[in-house]
Amino acid sequence: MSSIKYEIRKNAYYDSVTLMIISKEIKKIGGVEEALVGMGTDLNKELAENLGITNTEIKDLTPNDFFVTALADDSVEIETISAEVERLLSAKKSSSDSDYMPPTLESAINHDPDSNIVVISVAGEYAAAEARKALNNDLHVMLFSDNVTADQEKELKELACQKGLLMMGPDCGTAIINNVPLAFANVIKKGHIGIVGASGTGTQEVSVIVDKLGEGVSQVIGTGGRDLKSEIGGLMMLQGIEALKNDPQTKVIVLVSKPPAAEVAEKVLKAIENSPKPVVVDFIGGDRELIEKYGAHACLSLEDAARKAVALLRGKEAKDFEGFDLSDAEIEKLVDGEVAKFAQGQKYLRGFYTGGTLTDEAMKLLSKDLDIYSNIPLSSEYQLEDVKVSKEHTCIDFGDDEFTRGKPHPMIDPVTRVERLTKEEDDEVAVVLMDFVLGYGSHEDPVGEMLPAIKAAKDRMAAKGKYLSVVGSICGTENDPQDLGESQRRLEEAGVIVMPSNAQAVRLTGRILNKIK
Amino acid sequence: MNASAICSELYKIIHKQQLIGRVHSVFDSSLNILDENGQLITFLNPNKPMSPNAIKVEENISFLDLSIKQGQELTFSKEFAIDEKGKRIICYNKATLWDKSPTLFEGGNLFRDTLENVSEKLNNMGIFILREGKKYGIVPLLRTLESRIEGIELLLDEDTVFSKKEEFIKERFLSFIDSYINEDIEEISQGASKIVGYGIGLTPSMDDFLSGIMLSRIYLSSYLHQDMDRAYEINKAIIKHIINKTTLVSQEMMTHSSRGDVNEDLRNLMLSFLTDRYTEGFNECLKRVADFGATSGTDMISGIYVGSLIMLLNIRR
Repeated sequence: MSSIKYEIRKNAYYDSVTLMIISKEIKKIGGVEEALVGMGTDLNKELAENLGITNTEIKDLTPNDFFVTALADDSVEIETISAEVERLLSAKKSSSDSDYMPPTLESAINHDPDSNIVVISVAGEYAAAEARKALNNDLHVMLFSDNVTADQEKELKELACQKGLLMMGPDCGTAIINNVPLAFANVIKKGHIGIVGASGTGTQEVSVIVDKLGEGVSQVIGTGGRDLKSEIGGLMMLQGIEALKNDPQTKVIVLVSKPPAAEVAEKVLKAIENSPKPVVVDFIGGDRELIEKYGAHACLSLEDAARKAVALLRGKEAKDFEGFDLSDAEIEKLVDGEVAKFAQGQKYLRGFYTGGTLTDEAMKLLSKDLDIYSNIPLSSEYQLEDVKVSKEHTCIDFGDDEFTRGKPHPMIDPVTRVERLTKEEDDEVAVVLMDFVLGYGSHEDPVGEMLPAIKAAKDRMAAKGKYLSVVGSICGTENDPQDLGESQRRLEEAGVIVMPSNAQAVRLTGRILNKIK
Repeated sequence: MNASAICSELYKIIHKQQLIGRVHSVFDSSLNILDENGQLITFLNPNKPMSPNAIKVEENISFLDLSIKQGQELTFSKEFAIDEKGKRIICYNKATLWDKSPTLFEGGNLFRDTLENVSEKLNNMGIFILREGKKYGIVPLLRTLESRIEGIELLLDEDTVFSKKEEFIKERFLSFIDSYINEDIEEISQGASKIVGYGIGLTPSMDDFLSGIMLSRIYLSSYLHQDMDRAYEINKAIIKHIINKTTLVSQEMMTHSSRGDVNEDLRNLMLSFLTDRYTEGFNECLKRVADFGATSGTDMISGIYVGSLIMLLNIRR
């Protein structure tokens, strides 16, 4: 049996978007045959009558009364419909909250007094003041903005430490707090590995590989790239370590950073010396002996850090990994296949990266065999005179300041890398090495943006009787908003060798280049 | 709060006499106050286009965050409005005056675009509705106009399926459109009174559509050198019987529209449509209006589109 269920709210006004949503959702409730939502205008009342969903109360409404009426079977109770209306009205409020852009921190706090973390992305000159306000309101801070002075950063971090708060940044691009990705972050399974990272894409790469290996993260805390320098003293990495030590969900701690200042490294390592939880440290080319002296596990690469963390979580031995997922024979075949296609004189590398830490890792892993020019060189003698012109072996971090002034970061808009590859005319280039970073914050299709330039570069070399080898890795998970599987398929279809990690892509590139030296 | 702009007509009224009103409805980006004369005064945040009888505030706030509640009394003096406790809610003594009147060709400052260009823009408006419009308001009903308005069939969605609601209203809708094409004043009044208030929003879809029709009547009449008194007479007929048949907010909107008084985005759309030296792109204007409410913007554009088609067809005949 069906009967009329209705709800009336006198002198209640809701915006049309809310009413439209309620109208659609009420009809989706199982057992609801017909429904009408609206204001009590003559015509809507007549329509309700025409649809057979009216009664005396509805007929008595005025145009300034809101009503919902439905014909539903007896299993549907009016409370179900009322609850759904109420839920949607509240949901709309929160969704308009997300549309609402509070112009000041104060109005943001008033708007959502339950929030406990603030993401700040304003022009650098205002960033410190906003962060200070947030900390003084007892809120954790993720400061995406850069151009904050070291003095300001130190003062803010000291304030945060006094208050037991996180002050992530400035220039903090990656964090995952209670499973909520902030800024550039991938969709990582919930798990028991806690990461404190002073480098954005380095942290992303570790978390992505943890996810690929079947585990997940408890928290990912960013510190900002300057945290481990002498002037800041690792204040936030120390704070992050303490937070993860005390977090019951975290069973293994991973620290990721470019090599810290020596005295800061000591301070950080002392903080983990007697950690009840295993600690994996990747100071990307940092002092292995020093790390191990304090009982932590040193790493050879970001991938190695992820693998060690997973092994420790599973109660296994943390062994060094500097190989490949493929067998040696398969790798040899791959290398030989590429080498055979090169023409005489092709010998150079172009590492075109969107992620700074991935660029750094690539140069460190290749530096034993190659001298690499860069805009962020390992040694000043290999600084490119003109960052827009490649020289011999070149690795470029397109996310560095000279490429991003007045432009979006290449992870958001890869156009600078696309243009660079399109313009490269060096016939001696053999291998192009690239990263593709997926996840929130990144371009909706980084692979699609790059493919035409890759194909054109390969065709250009082919027209000259040469071959361009392109090797890449995708920093992304199956649950990222961009389609990981499809991204890989399209790259491979275009002749790109896609390796499971940046480290493996770099190692493969090294083997190819060594063979054609 | 300080106001950045105030409707000049409202400012004049406030300067003549103190007004007392009660908060009628509160939304994220607007707040309505019903004054003692039954007029609505609207507070807008900076994201909203300036509108008739409105006061725009400087700060980008959500009115839902203020402690202003429905039914609360506000008193409007010459320079500011205060609440029951005498607390200043908004100061408008330094606000810019905004004229709600339509900007018409009679003023001599506008340059008419050619009829050919206007027709092309009208065609683009139809394509915009079809491709980018929000189609769960009035748009499905446009299908019924296929046999009534020459040229409209090119822009109709072949896949439109009428729901029970559209089936319920379509004959009345067609009856109104027939009377409007024939410019039968009495029939227009009767026809409009039978369709006003159709739709779920605070400004129901049909009311938005009728507002668009009325706006096109004012602006096209001016563009085509037609008798403006006749235009106002036709619009007056549309709103003649709307009192208590729709929401108060919608009733106010329709009354303003009948005089060509609309918000600045709609005004810009009409100027971009009919003049040849307008700075803002026609498509940008369409997009901005289409963003109003759930379907309100598309419903208004649909009204402008249908109203303009009818008027341009009439002159060709």
